[in-house]
Amino acid sequence: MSEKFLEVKDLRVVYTQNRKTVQAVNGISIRLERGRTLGLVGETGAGKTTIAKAIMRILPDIAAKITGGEIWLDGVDILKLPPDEMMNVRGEKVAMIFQDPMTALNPLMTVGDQILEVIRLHDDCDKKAGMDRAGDMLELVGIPRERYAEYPHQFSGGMKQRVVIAMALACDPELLLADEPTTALDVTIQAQVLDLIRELKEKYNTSMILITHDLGVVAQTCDDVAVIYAGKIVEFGKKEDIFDHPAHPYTIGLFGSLPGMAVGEKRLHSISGLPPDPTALPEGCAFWPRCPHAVEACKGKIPTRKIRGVHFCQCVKEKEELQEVYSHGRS
Amino acid sequence: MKKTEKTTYSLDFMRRLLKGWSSRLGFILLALIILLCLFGPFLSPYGVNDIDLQNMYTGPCMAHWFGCDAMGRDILTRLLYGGRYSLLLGLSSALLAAVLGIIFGVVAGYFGGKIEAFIMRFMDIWSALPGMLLCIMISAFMGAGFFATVIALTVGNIPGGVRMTRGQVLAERKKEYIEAAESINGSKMAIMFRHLLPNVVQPMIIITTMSIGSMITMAASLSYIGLGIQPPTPEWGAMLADGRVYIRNYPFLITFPGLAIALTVLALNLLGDGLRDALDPKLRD
Amino acid sequence: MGRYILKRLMTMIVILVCAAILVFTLMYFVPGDPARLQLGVDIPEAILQAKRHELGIDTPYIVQLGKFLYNAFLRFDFGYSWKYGVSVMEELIVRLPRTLMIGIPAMILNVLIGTVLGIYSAIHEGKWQDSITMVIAMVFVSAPNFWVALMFILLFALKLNWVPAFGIENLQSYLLPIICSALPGIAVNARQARSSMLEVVRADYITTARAKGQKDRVIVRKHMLPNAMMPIITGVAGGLCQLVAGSPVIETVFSIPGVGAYMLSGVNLRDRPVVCGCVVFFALFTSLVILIMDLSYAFLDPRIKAQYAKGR
Repeated sequence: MSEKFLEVKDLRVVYTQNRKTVQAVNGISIRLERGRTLGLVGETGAGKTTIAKAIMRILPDIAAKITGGEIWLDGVDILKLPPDEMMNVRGEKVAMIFQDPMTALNPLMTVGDQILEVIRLHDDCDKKAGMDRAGDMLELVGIPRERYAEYPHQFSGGMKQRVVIAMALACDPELLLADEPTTALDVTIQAQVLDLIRELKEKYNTSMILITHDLGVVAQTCDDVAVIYAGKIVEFGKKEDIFDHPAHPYTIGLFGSLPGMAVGEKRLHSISGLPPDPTALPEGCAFWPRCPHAVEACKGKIPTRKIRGVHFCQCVKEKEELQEVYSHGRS
Repeated sequence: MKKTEKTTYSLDFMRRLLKGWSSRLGFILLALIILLCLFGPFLSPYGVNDIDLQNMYTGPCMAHWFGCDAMGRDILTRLLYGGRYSLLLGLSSALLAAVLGIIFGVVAGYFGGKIEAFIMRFMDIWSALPGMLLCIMISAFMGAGFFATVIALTVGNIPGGVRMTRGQVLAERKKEYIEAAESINGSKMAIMFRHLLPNVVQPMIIITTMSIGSMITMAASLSYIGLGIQPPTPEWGAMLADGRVYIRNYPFLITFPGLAIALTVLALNLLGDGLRDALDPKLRD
Repeated sequence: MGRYILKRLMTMIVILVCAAILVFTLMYFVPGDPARLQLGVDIPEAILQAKRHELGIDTPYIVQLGKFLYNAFLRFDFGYSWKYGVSVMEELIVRLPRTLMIGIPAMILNVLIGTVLGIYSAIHEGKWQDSITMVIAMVFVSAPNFWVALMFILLFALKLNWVPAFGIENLQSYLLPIICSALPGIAVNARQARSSMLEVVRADYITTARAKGQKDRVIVRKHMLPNAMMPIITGVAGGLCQLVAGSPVIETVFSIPGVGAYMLSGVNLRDRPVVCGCVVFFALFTSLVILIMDLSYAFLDPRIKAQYAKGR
């Protein structure tokens, strides 16, 4: 195992809107080593994108506020960096692939120039060399460099996502934040884009945080998995741990709702109820109103249970009980 | 059950509408102006056309809060009466323009083809003449008077509404609920007015609220340049036209009527802004 | 692109001709006998008849219309004023500079100050700078233009004596008309620019630009402004048309013998050549503004340019 590269400690983010406060991220801690991929899994609105944007420090200034925690990147707490130094981190050290390729590109700039912009921001090169590099990047993601001067509206969704990826990789970032990079794409294109990301990541030994609600994507791409519910990590472990021995009732619910994951199942299970109202989270474990195994203790303080190795779970149940729950969930 | 849903929706809507201080101010101001114009004249000790030669050009004082005009008529009383004209003028021409704009817009947008081409080319010609110019000409054509002015104002302001409604319809008709209605053989009329109309009417409500204000201003401009409503009718613009000769010596003759217009239009615009924020789902969250 | 412009110019001419027909027809059917209006009430029928012949209004509608269109569009001649007997075209040429002396500076103020204020306001969204700008803009959007003009005359000309109140004696006398014409446009543009900037701020590609590590100042200039420009241009063009349309009123308030005042005198005297001349002239201006607006869209937005190139 190499040194830890990214360490997020007890991160808290709050959104304020119309005098209502939304606890989007509720004390999340993440560790990531160089070259590894961490999957953040959870429902829409669980706070996954907010974590990524907090790491980039590109949360909307007015609405969002980081209220606590530290983000250490390569030995530096980037939350304490002055804004102008942070600009050098963004795009160069950390880059982000955005969810919706349709809107992530400026419609009035050629795709080449948009890649050129990030290259010239971080690399000291003249325009000619930069354009050359941007052309290389296009080719790297499988777009002919002749299309440099075309505008986003002339590309299909999958192609646009490739451009976004090229933009993110243009300065060889050490950390890549991929925010549902395939959600907006057709299934056939999804696989291509994922392969592309994986290939490029291996080539440059980039660390990656992959945000998704698609467990299939996680299975294909990730080393570690963090399951997020209502702004908290409810379960963390190696991919194999999570897939073969899910412990938290929510994780089990997620797997139960997937076709083909539960062997021998005739019908899919759904998690009953709706995600909690983020302006009024329930006391204790945020999942208890929907949890089939909820007990009174769930409303109190929730302990973190070590299951095996790095596999952790936040639940009041003992390890043995959880394992039983797990086998129960299967039967 | 359905009824309660509706009431909660409108309650919710009112709450959203009156959330900001500006739309609240607009709402209160407008309500105040309307109430004053409706009931104010009954409270006034003076008649609207009471000539009092003792009090010619009397400045604002205790007996005549806003002063008296060249014939000693009480300006406040005339303003309250005139407000009825101005408000009614604005409201009726804005509504008429909105209704015509929606009808033509929906028809053009829904039918497309030759009908659309015809309507839109006609609107192009129409709007080659800016609204106010058209108003001036129609007003000259129709002559003075309330009805003629309403027509002039309406005619001058149709093209904008048509354009906007058509744009809305074009965006809306691609959506699946229209296809669904067509697939079950809904009649064209039913689809246009039962399905399309409610979905395109919201932006029109905002525009119409604001255009009441601009209609009042335009009506006043028309009266000011000697068309539209004529003195001695106490319409606000006509009062301004009446008073402008005395600007040097009796400036209060033009100050108060103008202030009345400005406040009314301000209230309508504030309310229109509030409506936009309350209705536009894009800006809601 | 060239073909598109050509096509648009052709359409514009057709629209102008149609607008001219519309105006002519309106004025033709305006009640009242022009001959009687010129000469007075107690005039023998024979003299009236002669006058009608002289004015060319004893022929059928269609003949008069044809003659008007032919002269106006092929010979650029709108005929002679019925009241004053002066060539309308010559009078327009004399009066045009006075209207432009107000219109062009007002337009420039309109675009510059309005847009800058709007962007300034958007950048300071929710802070006091924003609130103050928007309150002032709201006041000037709401207050009737001609009344504001009267109030300014009262304050700056009559009370403070800084500028002349009426007429066109010297350059200073244009100052108030320019400011008063520009104010509502500035206010409207500021509001428009602010709201379209705010819409763009929330766009995903702005987040992308921030994620690249771009400086805020550059993001505003390079990514936000171009994308916010289209509604701003629409607003500016609308403001220009308002400026033209408002010229009869503003010129009346300040007693400026410009094109607007000319048109108004024509309307009041039922002087058809004058009205038709002025209105065709105004319509030409408006159409040109709209054409330039559409073309600048294409210049700004490659999507629209692609549409035009396809020859929509």
